[in-house]
Amino acid sequence: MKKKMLALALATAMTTISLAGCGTSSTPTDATTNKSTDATTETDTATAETEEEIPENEIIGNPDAEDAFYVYCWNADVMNNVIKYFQEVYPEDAKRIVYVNTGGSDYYQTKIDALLEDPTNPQYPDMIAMEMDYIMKYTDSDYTLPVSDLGITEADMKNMYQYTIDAATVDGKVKGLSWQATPGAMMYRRSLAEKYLGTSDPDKVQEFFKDWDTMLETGKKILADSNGETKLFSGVDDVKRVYQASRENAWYDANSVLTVEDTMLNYMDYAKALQDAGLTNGTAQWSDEWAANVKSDNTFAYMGCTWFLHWTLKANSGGEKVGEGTYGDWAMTAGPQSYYWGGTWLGATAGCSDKELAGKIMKAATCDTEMMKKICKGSLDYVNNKEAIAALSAEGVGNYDFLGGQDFLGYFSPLAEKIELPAMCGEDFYITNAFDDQTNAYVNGNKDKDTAVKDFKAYVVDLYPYLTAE
Amino acid sequence: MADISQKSNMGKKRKTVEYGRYGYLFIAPFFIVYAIFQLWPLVYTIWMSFMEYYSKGLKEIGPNFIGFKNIVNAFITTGKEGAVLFDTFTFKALGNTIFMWMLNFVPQILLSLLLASWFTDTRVKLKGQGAFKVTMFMPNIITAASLAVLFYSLFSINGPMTQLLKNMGAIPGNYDFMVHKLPTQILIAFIQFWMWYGNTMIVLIAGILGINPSLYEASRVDGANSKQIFYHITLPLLKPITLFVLVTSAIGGLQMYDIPSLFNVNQGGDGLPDFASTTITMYIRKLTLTSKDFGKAGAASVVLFLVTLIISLFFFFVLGEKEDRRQRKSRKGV
Amino acid sequence: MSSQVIEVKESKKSENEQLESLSKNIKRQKLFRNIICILLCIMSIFPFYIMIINATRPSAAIQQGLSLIPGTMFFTNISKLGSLSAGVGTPVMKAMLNSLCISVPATLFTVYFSSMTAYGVYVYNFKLRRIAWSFILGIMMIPTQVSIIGFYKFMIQIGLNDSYLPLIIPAVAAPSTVFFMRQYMKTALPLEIIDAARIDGSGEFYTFNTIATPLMKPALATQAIFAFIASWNNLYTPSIILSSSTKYTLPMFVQVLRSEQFRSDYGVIYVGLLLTVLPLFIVYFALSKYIIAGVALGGVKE
Repeated sequence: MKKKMLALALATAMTTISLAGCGTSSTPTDATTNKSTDATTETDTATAETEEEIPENEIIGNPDAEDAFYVYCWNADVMNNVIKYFQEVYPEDAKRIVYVNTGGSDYYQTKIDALLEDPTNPQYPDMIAMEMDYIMKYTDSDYTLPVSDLGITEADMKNMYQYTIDAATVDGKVKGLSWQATPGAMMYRRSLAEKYLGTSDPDKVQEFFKDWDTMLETGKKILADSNGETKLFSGVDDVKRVYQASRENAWYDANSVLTVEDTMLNYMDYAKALQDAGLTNGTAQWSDEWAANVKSDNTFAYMGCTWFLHWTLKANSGGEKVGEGTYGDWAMTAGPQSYYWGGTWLGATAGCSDKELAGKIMKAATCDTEMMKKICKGSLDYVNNKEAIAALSAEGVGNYDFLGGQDFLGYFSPLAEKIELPAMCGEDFYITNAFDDQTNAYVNGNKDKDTAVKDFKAYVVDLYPYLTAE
Repeated sequence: MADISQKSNMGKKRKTVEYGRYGYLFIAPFFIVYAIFQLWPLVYTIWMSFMEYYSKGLKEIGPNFIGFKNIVNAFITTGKEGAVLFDTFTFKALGNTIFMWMLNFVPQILLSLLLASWFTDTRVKLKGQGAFKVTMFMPNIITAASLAVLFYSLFSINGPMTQLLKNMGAIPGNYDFMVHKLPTQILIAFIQFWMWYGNTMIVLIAGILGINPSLYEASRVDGANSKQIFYHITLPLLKPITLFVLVTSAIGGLQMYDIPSLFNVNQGGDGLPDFASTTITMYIRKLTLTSKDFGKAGAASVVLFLVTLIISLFFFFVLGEKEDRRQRKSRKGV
Repeated sequence: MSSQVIEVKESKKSENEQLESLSKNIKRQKLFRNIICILLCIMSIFPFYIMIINATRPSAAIQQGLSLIPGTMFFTNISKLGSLSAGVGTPVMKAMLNSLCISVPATLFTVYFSSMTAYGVYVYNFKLRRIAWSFILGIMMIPTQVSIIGFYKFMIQIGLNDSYLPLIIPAVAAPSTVFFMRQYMKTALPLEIIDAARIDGSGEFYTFNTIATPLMKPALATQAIFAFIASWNNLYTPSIILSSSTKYTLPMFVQVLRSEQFRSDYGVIYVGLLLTVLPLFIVYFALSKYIIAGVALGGVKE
């Protein structure tokens, strides 16, 4: 009987706790939207939500306010690279911003699609971040507004790299703007290059990686010289983005016919060659192990771009100053082929509650040279503003201790000029995912190349009923 | 006093009629909620399976009535090689689900039966049974999502368990469970097995304890040993409860979602490698939220519904028969 | 027949010898069974043990291999988890609170309305009683997952998408709980008591709430535990219905743990996992007897 009482007491206690938790607002369903009240009542929540470098209130915002302005992104990028700086200049406007980080690109689209369909939702996004992989899905729809509606003129966009404008242009209307340009390079470990190639100088190292075949030979040499300890890449898919950026056609054409073009078939071959020669550690991109290899001597190089340099390579280097982890032991060279990778665009939604504010944020973050200089200085992001980059590079802002002093701004600048708009479609994200799966199956020897391509097509056609295979 | 009791006696027959209408009031909330939140969605799902109803980008197309096309497409692929039955993603996902369920269920029921027979063995009495049961059952309660992520971390390419196995020489140095189909499926099945054998064991123990003890006594008097008792008395009498475990496990297994969806998946939510750990519920979710092909998702749901229906009908048929027989027997006995 | 044969065989041995070998055999059996059971128990605990140990170790050490000795980084990992989940929208404590806000009302709904439905079918004799009961039995095996698209679309239409109501209200209709409650009523709730209450002038709902329900307490408690755990652990429906990141439940937070944000730090992942399973550990070890008794009862009901 006593035990029964205990059980009952526990159940009651749980009920009380939950009621206390929900009790700050009127009903259980409201409790969740009521983030700020919860945060003030529970110290745990409040501390957990505090980001170190930014005061809490500004980052979270007040979702209860009548004029709350919702910005959605899949990680903290827009917060750290845009809103943080916007807020310094326009503190009043920034107070209205409610920043929602959905916590992963895996399900970002799923989440915002549901919200976009329902403009009455109190958490309806006013502004969304869009990644290169799926920007078309949103720009080629009525859910986003042309930037001209937000008071942004062509003159405002004069300093941008043309490809960033092209990427967001549908039927002649620009529907999204980016604060960054994203040329890519090959990023390698200086100490390992010194050891196995005899030099760490980017120009000399480039000779070892000047084309795909030479790169494969160099990889084999490194593997042999290191007794199998050091692999060229962490995973075969590290080179994927390089191939992908040079595609001539989108995954499907105007008649909705799915095609796999030679560029991607070549990628499959190269990935297989890397695997067969044992030149990788067998990781999948973005996996835990892949990230962990940044601080390990088992990986010679990564293919990465501007943001990758800071947010992935530096963040996972295991150190914060020269000498710690692999910090300071990296350098960049062009690699076998020039490319770009990703990028994040901002777009205002059709139901945007305040177009003026949306315009103000976008103008500040993507057109205002002075502001963009600040962004670049603060976050080291490569900004989408030629004037700012030229000025900063001349100032020496680009000399980066993480890269052993190499000037990353100066290095990326000519690469950014060269970028041409790749072929895209709105479903790129999921289709590319499916392609990766099949490439992996082929690379791991589970099926031959033709079967892999066939299975890839079958899968995509099943996923998107309006597509057909050739 | 006598008056009142007489009245109530007299009124008994009338009362049931009189109070009967309250029955409707008591069961109304259940049926109203069921009708709105489960029955209607089910009808709606079936309705959608007859529609061409999908989104292209963010534009919605349909619903247009297309008859049985979706359902037929869920069963048959028509390609260059002609029509192939069951060679569809719906059935691939269903096949993965059933395969992973079988991988988990067969060892699960065998181990549970063994343990249940041990725990109820009066000759070899095990001490500390309570502690054993509590510990073995424990994984069943823990959030499956957390377990999936935990096991993924343990068995990923550099995970502690993988490294342990590598150091022991059980697997080659560069082995990765996650790029091979069968090992991934076995690991998922193992998590399920690990979570559920304790539960099944407890159900079976309860079943064995429910068997009339005089049967055991009689057989022991006849000199039967533990093994004989188990095979000739326990097992046959345990049939209905084993069947119950089988059916609930099968229906639960068809819904398998939490573990595979957080185990070895890509960014789009497909079970890796090469679709091998995608279950039917994961596939339905993907069609609903990612590709937004509601017609196809409806058809896949209908397939899942039919399979579930067959299993539960089988259950009611077989068990209902048992029940009748048992009743007849007991009546005979009386 | 066979027993006779055995008897004949066994009579050849002397009684002492027979008993000795038997007890030796039993001892050997006992040892063997104990070892297997202990191994199985270790198997149950081991993954959690590694999880706890790794939650106290730095990421780099975890990558190097398995250790059975705790490290010293527990609080560092906790604070890292805090800073990494900043801006994700739902830190772990908030996710737990969200889960509670769904699970508690859902549990109350399940047990109250299920016993009410069972009571209705058990106590009253009305025209549709048999049909209603057969219906409840029939739908017991139909899982909610089969109608999820219809459910999702319908919730969008009536504006309940991305709210907790679709996760709470359907708890009212839980056929297997109804079944369990009715079976229990057969043994624990004599109809005479209800008749007696009527004579005392008690209204029908009053009788149910004050006389029948207290008699059902043990069954209600068991079912409440299971309903709560099922709702707490549910991932499928919330992951389809909820889109606002502030509303994430605990299992959805686990999903977030696997996203890019956390990938680079193993210690943080293990700490996050530890926090997600901790409440259930506490509930389980406080209530394990009832839970196990409830599982046994649930199986015998057929």
